[in-house]
Amino acid sequence: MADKEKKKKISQIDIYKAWCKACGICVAFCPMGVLGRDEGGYPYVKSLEKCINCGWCEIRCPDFAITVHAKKGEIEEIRESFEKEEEERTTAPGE
Amino acid sequence: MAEITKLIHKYLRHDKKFPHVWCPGCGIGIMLGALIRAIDSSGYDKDDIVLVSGIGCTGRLPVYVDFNTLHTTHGRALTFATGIKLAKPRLKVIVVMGDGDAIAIGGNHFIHAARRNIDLTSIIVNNSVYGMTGGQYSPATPYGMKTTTSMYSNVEHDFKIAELAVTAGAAFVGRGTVYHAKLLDSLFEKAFHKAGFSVVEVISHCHTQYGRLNRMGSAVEMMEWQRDHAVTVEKARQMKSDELQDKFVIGVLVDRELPPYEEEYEKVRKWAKGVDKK
Repeated sequence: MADKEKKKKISQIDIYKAWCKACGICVAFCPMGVLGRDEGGYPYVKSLEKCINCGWCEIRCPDFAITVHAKKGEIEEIRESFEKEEEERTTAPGE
Repeated sequence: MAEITKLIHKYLRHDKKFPHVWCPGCGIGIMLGALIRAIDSSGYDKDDIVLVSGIGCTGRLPVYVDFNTLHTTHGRALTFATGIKLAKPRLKVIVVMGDGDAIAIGGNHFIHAARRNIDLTSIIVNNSVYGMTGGQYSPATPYGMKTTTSMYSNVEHDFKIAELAVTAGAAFVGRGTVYHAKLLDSLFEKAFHKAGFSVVEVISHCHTQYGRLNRMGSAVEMMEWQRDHAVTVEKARQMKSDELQDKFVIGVLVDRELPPYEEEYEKVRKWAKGVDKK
């Protein structure tokens, strides 16, 4: 059950090519083999569904050029925007 | 943007030239990330931190971060830091040095700062070689390794920096590697909270100079070497000395209570003023 829920959460991986120096550390130390290297040695997302969102690529990146986080589902996004509206309503100025 | 990188961007000086100056895959970048995460989770204000560095690859580090920073002469980072700490004891002074900076040209300052037990956090990035100046051997280059000034083999034996700090009398000594980046976070945090001289040795790699000459491969392969040769303190206790021959110990090596220099010196000032009697 827990495994299923884990798998359902899709990660989002962003790579900033402007800061990346193609050292290959994120690719080499990814425990699930999510990332691959292109002809220039730069990383690209090969199989996103394998990502377990451990964050080691982000922690070990010397150039702060890769980020990984769990992508929010639709329901969570709606809930967040609702909470934000509520907050704004309760703390409205002039009351 | 994910949380960790968002946090790191909060502390970077974006008007400086990015990507930074270090070689692709250099461990100093990984250590910088760990340092920023540790400072943030310790809850210090940006203005309360002073980051002091000397010369070398590691000396470039304070340029990129938005604290009070000082880029000093070769080997003298600890002396400048001592001055800052004694003038303004409320500041948290962190000294970032390389192996050449800390134990070669600044070796004397290092052992005496440890002996005096001044409340400084010194971080020493040990990449076994003088990387920036062209790969000459340093006091941290292991025996039998090739560098540009020891093309046949290094005939000198290396300093074990963390063990040297233990003997010199530092209050806290830890050792980590850039492969074990999360361990670095916790070691830095512990070192910040320690009153007294605290040392964290960070085993890093120089694949451009040292790795290429010794055929140790790329940054990735050198980080795998760190993974295979690091032994935690708990595990090392159960191992025999011949098993530990080519290994190094990581974790907290020493954590002891010693009165810091500032507190002792404050007492002297009170005696001199006649407030307290000796």
